[in-house]
Amino acid sequence: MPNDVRIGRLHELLRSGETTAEEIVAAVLDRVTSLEATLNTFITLTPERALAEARAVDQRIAHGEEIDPLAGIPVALADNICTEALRTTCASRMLGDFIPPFSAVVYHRLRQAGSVLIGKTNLDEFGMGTAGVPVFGPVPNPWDPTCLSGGPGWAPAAVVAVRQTALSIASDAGGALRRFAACCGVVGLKPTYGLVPTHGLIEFAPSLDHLGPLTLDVTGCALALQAIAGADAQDGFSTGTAGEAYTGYLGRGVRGRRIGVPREYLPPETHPGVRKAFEKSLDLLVDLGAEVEETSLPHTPYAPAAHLVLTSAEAFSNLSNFDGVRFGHRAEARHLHEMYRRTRHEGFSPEVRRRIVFGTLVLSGDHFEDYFVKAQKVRTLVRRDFEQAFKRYDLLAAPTVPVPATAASGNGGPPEMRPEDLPLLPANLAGIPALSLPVGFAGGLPVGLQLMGPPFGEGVLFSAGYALEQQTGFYRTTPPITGTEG
Amino acid sequence: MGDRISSAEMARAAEAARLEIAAAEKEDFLEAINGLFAFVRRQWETLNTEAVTPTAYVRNLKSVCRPDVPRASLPRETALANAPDAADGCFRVPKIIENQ
Repeated sequence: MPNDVRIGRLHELLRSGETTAEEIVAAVLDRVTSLEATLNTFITLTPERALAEARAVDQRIAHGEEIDPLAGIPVALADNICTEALRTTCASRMLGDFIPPFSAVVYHRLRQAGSVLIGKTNLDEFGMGTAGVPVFGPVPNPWDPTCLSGGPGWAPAAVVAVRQTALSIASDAGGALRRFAACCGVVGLKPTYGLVPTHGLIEFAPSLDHLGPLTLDVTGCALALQAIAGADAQDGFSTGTAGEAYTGYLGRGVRGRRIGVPREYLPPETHPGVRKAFEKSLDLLVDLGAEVEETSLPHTPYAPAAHLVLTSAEAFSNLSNFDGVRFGHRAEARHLHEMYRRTRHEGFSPEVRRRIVFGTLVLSGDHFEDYFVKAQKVRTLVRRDFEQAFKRYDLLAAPTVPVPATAASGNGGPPEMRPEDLPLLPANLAGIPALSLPVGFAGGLPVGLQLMGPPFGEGVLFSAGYALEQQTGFYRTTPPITGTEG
Repeated sequence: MGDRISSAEMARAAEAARLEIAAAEKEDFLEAINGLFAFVRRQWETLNTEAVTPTAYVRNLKSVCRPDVPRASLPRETALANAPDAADGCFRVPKIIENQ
């Protein structure tokens, strides 16, 4: 099994006839088979369908058709992304048997591009990053299978890290996508709010939720964004023109770019190994011609509470349609009201119910101004911090997570209360793009660099990320669990 | 801002959200909920936001209307396919009036 599943490279191999889509898909399915018992990354697998789709791509190539860069590329979707006629569970008992009647826009676009669905990945219930016993079991960190601090949330990043797929799509309402990309040693992008339509994503916090790609390298990330970005009429908040050529930014480098390093993103508890890898990546950026200086985003410390209040309020509203009437779990009950209560009691984990109750309280008359409205005001302040910073800097840089996976606080409460999630939350509140790419190791576990840009500044992120990646070549490094072949 | 949430207040919120909190978990729930309130209060203790405008969505969108073009909706059978209970082309639910 070759370990180099960079999307651009696979595309070249397909075009030159050196391999077939069927061979690629068969190889990643072998990797799924050999590692699934250890890693538990998938909730649903679609091997026969994947092989059939791969053969269809091979036929198109045989007929001399020009293929899209994602054609024949294996993709995994987090299991909160709707796939028509294929079970979508949100890793919740509430949706254990739910078969969506339509596909998410993002999956529709990937299919149109010819990519091949391998399966649906495990996740925290509804992508909330909450504590508790995962319905489909935990997922170990691929670099250290004894480390379970990510709950099942590692899965969308782990499948790329161990080469069970070349592309993975996941949601990011509070930094999960970037956190897990960093901890699993892969590239992950949370795009600008609205750039990738979320119609068909079962969101729990629509004003903060994003969909983005996870890949082995920055080029793959740019290719994936090219396929999934752009407004769609089904998502009123989506924006941007489809098909922007993000790969055009890759070779532009960072010469003359001004990069700010917000001091609030390097808390005192930052792991020395993480700090070292981060500083080394800054040195590389300086060597490549960028100017780096320390800056401040002063309202950062208020962001976690604002995120907690807003996501909880939105969860109260957004999860209200899980009531046992039209889809999902239904509990036995004597009358309608009891059915609602019991269904939601049995279907949601205690952690999800707690968040909903908290959300109900912050929206109630007594607390509305002090909590909900104040959280919205903090959101304004966080957003203004970024607006000010981007007047001076092209990019902001920080460690994605200030501690390696084993030192993470684990699943002991809402993610907003984990100090290590502080650098992840502001980008969601402000809706700005943020790219995490692997830049080194701390204690044998990967370290991620987070690059943040102004709204619709994905191109600048790709330029800087690609320039760094050319120096580090991190995509050549594989978790020991995958073996060394290739 | 500052008071603890009472058990009765939590029960009212759970009722509004159509959620059950089992007797055995009430105490833990109340502790956790109050822990969340305390976390938020601690973080914002020194922050004055009086003159700040709230942000609901990060993008300043203007509402626009699209042409009203009729199109097919989800077929009835498809809409009912995931229903826990259906009859005569409708979702079937338990009786609405309690105590009867």
